[in-house]
Formats: sequence, structure tokens, C-alpha cells
Amino acid sequence: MKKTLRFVPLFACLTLLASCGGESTNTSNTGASSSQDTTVDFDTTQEITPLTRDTNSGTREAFFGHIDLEDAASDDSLLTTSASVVASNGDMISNLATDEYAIGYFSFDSITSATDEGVKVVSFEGVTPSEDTIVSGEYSLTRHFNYIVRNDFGGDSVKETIVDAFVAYMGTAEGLNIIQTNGGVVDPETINNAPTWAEISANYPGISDDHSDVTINFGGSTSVEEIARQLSASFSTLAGNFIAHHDHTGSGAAYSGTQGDDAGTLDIGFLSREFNDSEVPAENTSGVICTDAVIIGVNEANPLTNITADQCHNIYALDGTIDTWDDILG
Amino acid sequence: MTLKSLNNEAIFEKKKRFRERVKDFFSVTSTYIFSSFTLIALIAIIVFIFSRGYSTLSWDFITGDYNPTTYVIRTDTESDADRLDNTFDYTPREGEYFSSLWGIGFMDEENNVGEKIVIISYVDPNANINNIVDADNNPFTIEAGTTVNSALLYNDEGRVSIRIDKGAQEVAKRFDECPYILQMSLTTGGDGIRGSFISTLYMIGITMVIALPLGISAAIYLGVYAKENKITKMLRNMIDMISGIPSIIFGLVGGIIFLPIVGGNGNLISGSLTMAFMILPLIIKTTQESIKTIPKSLSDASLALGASQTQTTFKVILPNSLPGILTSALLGISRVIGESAALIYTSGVAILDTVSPTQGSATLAVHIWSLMSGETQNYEASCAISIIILIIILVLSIIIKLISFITERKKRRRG
Amino acid sequence: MQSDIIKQARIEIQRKSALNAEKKKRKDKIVRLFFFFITCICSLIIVIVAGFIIIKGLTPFFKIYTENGHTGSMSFSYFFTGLQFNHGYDQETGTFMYGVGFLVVNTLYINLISYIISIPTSILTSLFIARIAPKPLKKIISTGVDLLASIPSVIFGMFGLGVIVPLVRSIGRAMGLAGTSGISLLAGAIILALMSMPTMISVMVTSLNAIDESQIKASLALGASKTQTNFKIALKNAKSGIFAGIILGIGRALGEATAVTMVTGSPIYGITANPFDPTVTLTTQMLLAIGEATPNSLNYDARFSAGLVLLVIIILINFLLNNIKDIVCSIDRKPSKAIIFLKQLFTNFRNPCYDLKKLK
Repeated sequence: MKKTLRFVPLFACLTLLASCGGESTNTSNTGASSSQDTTVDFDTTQEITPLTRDTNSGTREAFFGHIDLEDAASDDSLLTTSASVVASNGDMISNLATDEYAIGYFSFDSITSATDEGVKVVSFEGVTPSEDTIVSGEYSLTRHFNYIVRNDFGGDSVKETIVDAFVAYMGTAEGLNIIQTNGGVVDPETINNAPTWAEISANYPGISDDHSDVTINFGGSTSVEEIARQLSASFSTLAGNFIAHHDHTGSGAAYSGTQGDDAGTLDIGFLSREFNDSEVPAENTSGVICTDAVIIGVNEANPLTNITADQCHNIYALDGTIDTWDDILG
Repeated sequence: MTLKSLNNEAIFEKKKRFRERVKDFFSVTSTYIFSSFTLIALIAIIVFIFSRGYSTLSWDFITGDYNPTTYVIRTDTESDADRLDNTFDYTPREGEYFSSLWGIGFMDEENNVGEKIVIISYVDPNANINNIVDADNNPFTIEAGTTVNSALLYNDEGRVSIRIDKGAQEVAKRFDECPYILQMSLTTGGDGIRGSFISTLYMIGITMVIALPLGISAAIYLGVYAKENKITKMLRNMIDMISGIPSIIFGLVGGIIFLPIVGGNGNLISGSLTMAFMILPLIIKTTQESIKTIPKSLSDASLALGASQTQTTFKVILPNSLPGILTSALLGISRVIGESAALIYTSGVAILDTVSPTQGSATLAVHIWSLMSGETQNYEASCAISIIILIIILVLSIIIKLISFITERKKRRRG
Repeated sequence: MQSDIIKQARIEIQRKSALNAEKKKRKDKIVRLFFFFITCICSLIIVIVAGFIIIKGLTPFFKIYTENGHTGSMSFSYFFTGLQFNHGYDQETGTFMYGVGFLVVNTLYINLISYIISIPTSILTSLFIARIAPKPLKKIISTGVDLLASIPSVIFGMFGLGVIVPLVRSIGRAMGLAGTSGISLLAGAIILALMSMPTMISVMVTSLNAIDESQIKASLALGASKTQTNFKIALKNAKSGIFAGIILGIGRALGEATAVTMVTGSPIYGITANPFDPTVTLTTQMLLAIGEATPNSLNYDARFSAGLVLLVIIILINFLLNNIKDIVCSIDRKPSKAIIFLKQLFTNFRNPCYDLKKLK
């Protein structure tokens, strides 16, 4: 008993120590971790860590297309060796928030969560990205969000009607409102003049019948995933409560899942880039949803405010000339 | 022996004792330091998980759907009911923004991945929301606590698309400008784990149905029937080798074998088959151990009384090794609950609300994986799910220890 | 007459019981064959798994793939020496370049660091649990360690992201490496150590509990202190169990995928030298970018090749360690002359009064 008593205070100290360790990380993980380190001076001699998405990403293709690195979009070996791959926009943002010497790119529809977490938006070629500059075309790193649908439903006319109606819904005022709320860039005038769902629903007879046994498969780009989920959730209530199944693995899966090699696995695919040469959609099965932009971001502590296409090229290319922050910030 | 050499020896002895005491001291302190590292790590893990997940854990969390329920509502312009025109005398709370045209209060909040959302925080009893209908044209009552996902309003001049991400103040301002709703989507609930929980139960059930008979039969053969020759040794070695293979390789191979049959990203059945492969050595070994502890005299007596080997096996050996079989089943269950790498390949990472064995769905461990490696890391929900998993595993271990304790007692009583 | 009937009845009964015995024997044989059959199926699993991995892992070297406009199979030389998993297409040799050389080096590096952390800790902790801790504490810690052993790996990964990564981040910053974000090889090594320790500890504690008490009592009676007894007698006697525990723990650490993926990041190139940099190992590469890999594409099949390399490494290390265990733990083998010489050298170096001792 005496021996046990001897160990009890030791045990208690250990427990306190351990719980301190467990608890203290509670505050340091809500994205405020970077604020603890803003007192650290930004060391410009550090190497730049370029962050990129994987080769399936449409955002990557859009970004590299604008900085003269089209071939690197599907080939990792043309990238600089210090690059690191992240899996999604959210991953990109959390990495930028914790690593002061990183630079990366993400989609405009994640811009509010980015600025909340401590990521600084860098202007491109002197233009700050905002809805106005994107709509007007001044901000040049833009791309369209596109969709593609299955061209062969195997005779399932119910699914075909629902999918056609969904495509029309994306063009109504309500659909455009949802797209805009979730970060897509839509011209306010277009919303004002678009038809309402009530006006066009008559074109799709039987759309509001009970469809709770119908599953529609959505997939494709992860940048469009949030928009797609919200659209399908709202549209489902208007179209008989069909089940919307989302499996977003990248823009590459959109064409192959609807009309390409894996045709039939997806009913509607979304892309965050244009169709490339090997993807030729059938007539009337594809179109534009909205505009989007690619935003370049750095950590809050980074003094960089503007970057040019040429500088981006030299950061990301294998034979690029920019390696440390000194080379850019001078 | 000269005096000098005796003196030298004494000094040498003292030095040696001192050196040894120092060595002992170092050994003892290093033992304590390293053991405390282990203890600190164990306690830190438990504290971390419980402190982060406790608040999210609730009955709704366990039984709720993962996808939130969406209501799409609008102002009904076709019915005869005119929109009410009450005025309100309400002082909004701190952080709440009140629309006096409607009688609804909005507030900014954070959801559990840290994203900013706007919720309806207050609905006045006299609010002007009498002519709101949902998608099926049934009257809809707006309630406090729902999240506003999107809102498209209009007034006589045109449509106003509300930027929800600008915050509750902006929302309230716009609501003050427009008396009609073209479409608004509200959501409640969501982030529940019922689907994953049911998939886990399915996974456990199907795996046990496949693995237990196979494992018990193999254990019976190896423990009762097998003669000690080269073939038996080879069989034993091969079964032991299975336990050394990492789980991700099982995932790859399971994917190659089962996915072409099952299609898509796999389903629960292909996942269970892969898991059954993985836990077979565990079941075989544990059952074999318990068969070994049955005294040979029992089976000999049964044979002497004229029973055939088959009857002895089924009527004497199996019932007596039941505790061991139960232990192996429980150990297998804890392995199934915790497995993630193999299941990512063979049963997919989709989180569903209605689960059927022929559909690929995430189990609890895979759910944690997809929460932590997705767009934003959701620590709270992951820790809550971990608490559930840990409690299940703890209960299973306690049951296993109880079983062995009771069997020991019975054996001692048996003498 | 009656005796005839009785005789006939007896013959009948004998015949029936003989038939019964025949039937029972046949049933026994069938049941035995049935169980044997099932055992063979169970043991075939390893053959199936190994077979698929070998076949699918070696296919990329021989099959012709057409991807991105290039045709060819996988390059053999780049596979072992390459520094990038997907290095594109080599126009000269007409092969795709997929490399796992750097993955092997990274895997061995991260495992080495984790063993440096976990092996001393497990040995000392199991010594503490088995011999030093008072009885009630012993039970509590044992149960705790058992619980740790059954925690799923995703939870360890989450703990790593939440606690270990910020810890490594602050250590790295304190050491002056300004660019560290915590996602690093060191964090992965710590998590691996945490995961393999409970397995090691439970086996070591079992073997420490099973040593011969008489040896301990004899040593204490001869005047050795408790600590000396613990270190020199108890540990030495439990050597084989300790080694078995180490081998088991190493096996677990080598195959771990999910927890490590969460905390080590995903750089695309190169051997990581600095433990504070992100790294990619065999197991994490197999889990990375799973969306890119469609079955029967080269990317998917290359993962099998990586899996094959992983299996070979595990088998090699197990084989090596088992042999070392046999050498170290065989008590009747006389130590070779070289070892005796080294020992003498060492004792001479440590103790200048050695000659005096020899006199005694």
C-alpha cells in the first residue's frame, strides 16, 4: 500500500501533463494557429514551396494553362521537384494557412473560407479578383464550370426527364441564385432576367411525381462539388425527392463517367475546365454553368501582394528560375 | 597482503560501489522517464479524443442522417391569402439581426467544420410568414434554428439574390427590402452517422458469418484431427503467414479480385470478404488455443464410450471451447471495427443514409478517414465517432476478460 | 428353438452394430475430409494474395500500356533507382518511368527513427510494468496498454494531426527551421512508434512475467541490487520474448498506411533527408490520389508493384530479425572468439583496475 501511495502523486502529475497536452491543441487547431506565428519574421531567404493539386484536377489544368505550363497539367515530371501535392481546395487552403513559405492556387468559390483561415489573396497581373473583375473579364485567370450529361440512358425515360429538368433548373433564377451563393460567379443581370422554375417546369411533365426510388449519380470536379450538392438538394425537393448520389473525384471523371470509358457510372458530370481534345461530348449534352476564377494564395505573413504569369511559370516549372522568396520580393 | 594493497582495495571497492549506484540511478530514472512517456501518450490520446468529441456526441448525431434535410420554400402568389402586415416590437439580442418587414431574426454561427453559416435565430409569433409554401405546395412554418442556405427574394422592382456569405446583417437588410420570396432553401440536421453505423453492423455480421465457420472448422482440424506431419506443419505456417501481411495489401488484392465481380467501387459484401480473409488467422489461432486447453481425458472418455470422432467433436469439444470461440469472435469484431485501409479500396468511401449490403458505403473508421482527409478537417465529429468506437472496443475487451475469468474459475473448480 | 432365436437376434445385433460402426467410420472420414478441405482453403488465402500481388506487380514490366498518347511498358531500371513515382515517359527507351527506389529509402528511414523511439521505450516500460510497479498499478497500466493496442489506426492518425503535428511544428520552429508546418517525417515516425509500442509491450510483459523466479532470488541473495537484477538477469532471461515483441511491433509499423498518410503529407519527389520535411513512403504512395487510378491503368498497376516491393521488404526484415534472434538468444552456443576478444577489450577500456580484479 505504501508503494502504491508513492506512485499516486507521480501518476497525478503525469495525468495533468498529458491532459494539458491534449487540451492545448484545442485552441491551436481552429485555424488560428497561424496567428500565433505572425510575430515570426518572414525570412525571405527561405525556399518557396509550391503547392499543386493532383493531375486529375481541373483547377490545376486551368491554372497551368494560363501560365504557359499546359503540358505539366497531366505530367508531374515537368514540375519543379520541391512541389507538393494536395488533394482538394480545402487541403490547399489549410496548407497555405499553416506554412508561411508556401504558395498555391484554389478556386474562387472557396475564397471566403480561405480568407477566414488566414490565407492572403494575391492579385494577378495587377488585378484583384472579385466578382466585378471576373465578370468584366479584367481578371484573366478565369475558367468556366461546365457540365456534361449522359447521352444514353438505356431507355430509362424517367431518369432522362429528371436530368434534362436539372439542366434547365441550372439556368433558372433559382438555380443561378444557388450557384452564386456557393461561390460561382454569375452576372446579377442574368439572374434578374432568367426564367423561374415555375415558368419552365411545365416543359417536364411528371417532374414532381414521387421519385424517391430513383438515384441520380453526380460526379466530376471537386471544385464544383459544393455547388452541385446544393443544387441537387434543392432540386430534389422540387422533383419528387430523388436520391442524389455524389462522388466527386476530379474533372477527368466527368467525361469518362458520362460518355467515355466508364459511361453509365455518372448521370451528370461537372468539370472545372474546358473539354480537352479527347473529350468530345455529343450534341446538346454539355454546356456552361457559370464562370469561376483561380485565385493564387499565400500565407498571411507573406508580404507578397501581386504576381505575374511569368513569375508563376518560373516558380512551378522544372527549369524555372525562381526558388526562394528573395527572387520574387527582391 | 600489505597494508597498501588492502587500502587500495578498500578505495577500489568504494569507487566500484559508487559507480554501481550511479549506474543504478541512471537505469532507474531512465526506466521511469520512458514509462512515463508511454503513460503520457496513452492518457493524451484518451483526453484528446474525449475533450474534442464530447460536445458533438448526442442522440441526434448517432441516429441522424449525414445529409441535411433541405426545405425549398417560396411565397405562394396564387392562393387568396394575402401577406400579413404586422409590425413588431422586438429588441434583437447580441449578434442577432432582425428584419422588421418579416419578423424574423438572423444570426451568424459556425458549423462544426468551422465554416460560417447564417441561421434563423428567432421567429416572432406574429411573423408575416402566413403564405409560405414548400415544394409540394403545402404550407410551411419557418422555425428557429434552421440554417439559411440560399435566398432569392423579389420586390416590385426586381429580384434580389442574397449573398449569404456576407453575413446575417446583410441577410436581414435584404429581407427588409423585399416582401416576397422566389425561392429559399433551409436545412436542418445533417452530419449524423446513422448510415455509417448501420454499415459497420452489416460489415461485422457478414464477416462473422463467413469467417467464423471457416475459422472454427480449420481450428478443429488442426487441433483435433491433424497428425503432426509435414503437411500439417506447412498448413500451420501458411495460416500464420497471413497475419503478417499489412492490411493495405489485402485491400489491393481484394479490390482486384472482387471489384470486377461487384462493379463500381465495391460494396459491403466485397468488403466483408476481404475482412474475413484478414481475421481468419486470428480466429483460427484463438479457437485452437481454447481447444488445446480441453483436457484430453474428456475426449478420450467420449471415444471410449463408443461415440464416433464426429460426435465427440460436435458434442464434446465444440461446446467446451465455446468461450474461446466467443473470444475469437469478439477479437475479430474489434479488428473489423478498426479497419480502414482495406475497406477504402473494397467498399468505397461514400457516406450514405440508407444502407444496403449491395451498395458501397463507408463504415465508421472509413467515415473518420473521409472526414479528416476531405475539404476541411472536422475534428469534432471525428472525435465523437472515435469515442463511440473506443467505447465499443472497451466493452468488448471487458467481456473478453470476463469470459476468460469465468472459464478460469470453472476450470479451477473442475479441478 | 428359443436359443436359436436368441442366437439369430444376437447375430442381427452384431451385424447391425458392425454396420453402424462402418457408417460411423465413413461419416468420420467424410467429416475429417471436410475439415481438411476447409483448412486447405484457409491456407490457400496466402497463396492467392501472394500470387495476385506477384502477378499484378510484375505485369507492368511486360504489358504494353497506352496512356496520354504514349505506348510502352514500365521501365525496369527507373523502378529501382527512380526519385519520383510518376516520372512520365522516356522517349528514348519507350517506357513509362515509375520509380519506387526513393519510396524504399523513405520507408526504411521513417521506420528506423520510429524503432529508435519505440524499442528502448517498450523495453523499459515493460520492465517497469512487470517488475517495478506495485500490483494495483500494474493491472491498470496493463489494461491501458491493451486498450491502446486495439485502437484503430485512423484514430491514431487523427491524434497525430491534432496533437503530434503541432508539437513537431513547435519543436521545429524552436530549433530554428522556420519553414516547418509540422507535417513531417518525424511526426510519422512518432505515430508509428506509438502504434507499435502496445504490441511490443504486451509480448515483452508476458515474457518478463514468465521468467524463472529462482534466478531472480539467487541474484538478490548474492547481493546484487534490485536494479542490477532487473537489468542483468530479468532482461537477459526474457531475451527471446523481447525479440519476439520487437519483431511483431516492426511488422505492424512496416505495414501501417492510414495513420502515416494523414501526418506525412505528399511531396512528389525525392528522398527526404531532413526529418522535419514531408515525406512519402511505400504505403502512403499506394493510398495517394486514389481517384486518379482506374483499374487496369498503369498508375493502378504500379501500386501493385509498390505493394510487391513492400512485401519483399517485410519478408526480408522478418527473416533477418528471426535469424538475429536465434543467434542472440541461444544460450548454449559458445560465443565466438571474436566476441570474447571484443568483450575483453571493452572491459579493459572501462575499468583500469581490471588487473587488480584478476588478481582476486
